[in-house]
Amino acid sequence: MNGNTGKIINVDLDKGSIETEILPEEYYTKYIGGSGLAAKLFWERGNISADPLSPEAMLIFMNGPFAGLRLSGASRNSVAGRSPLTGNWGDSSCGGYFAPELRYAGYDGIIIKGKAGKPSIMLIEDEKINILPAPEYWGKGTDEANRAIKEKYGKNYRTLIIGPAGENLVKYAIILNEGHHAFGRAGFGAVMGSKNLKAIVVKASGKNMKLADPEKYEELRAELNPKIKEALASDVMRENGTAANLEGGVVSGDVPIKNFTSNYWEEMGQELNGGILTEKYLTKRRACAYCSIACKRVVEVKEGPYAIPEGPGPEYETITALGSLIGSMDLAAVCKAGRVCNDLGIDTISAGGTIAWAMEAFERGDITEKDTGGIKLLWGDMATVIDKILPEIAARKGSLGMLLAEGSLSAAVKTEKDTINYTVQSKGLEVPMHDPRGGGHGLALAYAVSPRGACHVASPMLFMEMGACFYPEIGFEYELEPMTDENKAETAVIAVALGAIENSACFCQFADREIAIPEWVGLFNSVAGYNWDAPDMMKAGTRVFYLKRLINYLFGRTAKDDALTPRILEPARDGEPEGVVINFEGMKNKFYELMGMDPVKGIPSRKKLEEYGMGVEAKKVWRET
Amino acid sequence: MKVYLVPVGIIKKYMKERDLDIEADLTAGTLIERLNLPDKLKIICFLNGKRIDPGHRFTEGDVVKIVSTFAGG
Ligand code: SF4
Repeated sequence: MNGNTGKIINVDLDKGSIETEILPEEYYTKYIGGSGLAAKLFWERGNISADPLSPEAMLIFMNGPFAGLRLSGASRNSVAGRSPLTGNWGDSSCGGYFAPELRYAGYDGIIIKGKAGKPSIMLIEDEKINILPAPEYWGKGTDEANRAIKEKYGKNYRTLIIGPAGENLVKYAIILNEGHHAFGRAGFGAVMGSKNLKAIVVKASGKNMKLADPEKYEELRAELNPKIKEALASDVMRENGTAANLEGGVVSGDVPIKNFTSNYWEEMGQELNGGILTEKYLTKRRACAYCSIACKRVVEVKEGPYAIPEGPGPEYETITALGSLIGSMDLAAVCKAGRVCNDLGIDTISAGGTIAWAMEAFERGDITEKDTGGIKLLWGDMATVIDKILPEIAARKGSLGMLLAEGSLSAAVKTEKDTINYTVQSKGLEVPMHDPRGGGHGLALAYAVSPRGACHVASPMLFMEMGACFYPEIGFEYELEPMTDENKAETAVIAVALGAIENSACFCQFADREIAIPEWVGLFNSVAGYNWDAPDMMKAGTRVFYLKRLINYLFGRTAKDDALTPRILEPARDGEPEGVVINFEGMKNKFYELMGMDPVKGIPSRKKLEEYGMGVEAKKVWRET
Repeated sequence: MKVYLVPVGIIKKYMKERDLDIEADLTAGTLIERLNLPDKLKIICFLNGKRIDPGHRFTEGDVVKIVSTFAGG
């Protein structure tokens, strides 16, 4: 096989068995790699009725075909399976340095089942794969565990580590690479914790990759790397990170404030933006493997109550989720809260969303000090967030920790009051930090139909609405007006396919905006030999989207679950989008029609599935017709 | 007539806050073109906190915020 190695590692922690397996080539040409290939394997082998935190649950790590190439943005990895947070299909992607090392070691992915008898790590050194008891790392923060593992094995050993939150099965626990890059969403840190697996460590002896057409690939690389590096967006993010234009987002009404109750807070925009982060706290810029954009931040807060030593700094989502969303405009506090989340192993988006919901519930009196163990939940009280709330969540300690460790939807259900209305989530996944009412109405549709729940990277809708990319070869050559529903369903049809391609190829969305459709096709063909034209590629993307929909259907999710909570659909109360109503149902109905999806079941029709070469899959969901 | 331009966010890199003399019938769209900002930046003008259309005409003393739709993830 080319690009891909074709080989995966199957681990059964119950039996202590480790086997390698060669996957059929057709799996790749149909489902691409990354989260698409993971969905195919889950569909084929997953136990649908298994609790995501039970030994039977599958934990899948999967590379895309480009991992290991010296190409900006090409080396992300996907983790996938059933999300413990949502109970649905879940996937999450991570940059950093794990994906290329796994590829060089000879593997496309790892499937883990079972549960180790005691806390363990998985060590991969080329063909040598071992599960090693390692209780010494259990209970440690990700930073300490990462350092200790690197000290023992070598600093070039690449790590995936969970923190105490993963060990304690917090449902939005993350998995961290090199102590900096996160598989952030959907709670796979808890799945790893449920398997008693603290870390996966990989080291390859070489850096070999076999490509289908090395010359053609080199031509493309020579064209793409400078194009990506010199793009204006890359320049902006290199200089001031992904929060570079947060202030602009505040004026547009895109940046959520106090649990999405407000869309405008001018001073906050001036305090929390990436330029201020650079000025006050940035010490270094960092990049994922081979990426010239280098959007990652390293920060140090030298003094004050939120002083932290030099280390990973926050990106846009973290700055907003642990800043404006919970009523704070204290950037030093955000840096510290982000660092604490990293070390405890908690997703900053779901943590921010859940805490913001709790602060509103406390303000309304829907939860009281009786529910929080005496802790007052006040907007912007960062000392309490950092010293009490986050540690209690990670430890599942006290009544507040127990209440919030399962995410906002679960916490709202537990209150037995009418508090779900002001959770801000779709399918149980907290909405990321772009408010469709100010960011673009198409984003509301994208959040709702995303198989894993509210997600801004499941498709490039955000970038398409803001006019950051155009794809004339596949019919996207028109400008969108973000604040209307016009052409949004039509665009979403293209966007879900493109998003599935990106997430299956494990390409970074900041880098791949610069890649034109013929270049995408050229990459798949020259690297992996898929022998595609543009329609083949788009068809594979749509197929992946459809398959994830089918998996969710088996979990009991239907069209009615493609929804957003009222808070994010009610007219904004202030700022630019004040009073504007999103025509959500109109966009959704049109999208369903264009995608050939059943308006009740929420899955593609049998005919549509057959058209996409999914006749076998169709039989499982359309049995009765 | 004079309007006052306020760049917001990443636009600050390309221009400073300043008064600008414009013709009375100048539209927001033409004003944006004249600012010579990079093509890749989709620009929107805001007046009193609200977006204005490219066809909008200004009045003396308007404070116009110049914003890019650029967003990080
Ligand atoms: S743009 Fe940023 S997140 Fe994406 S690959 Fe490069 S450094 Fe990593």
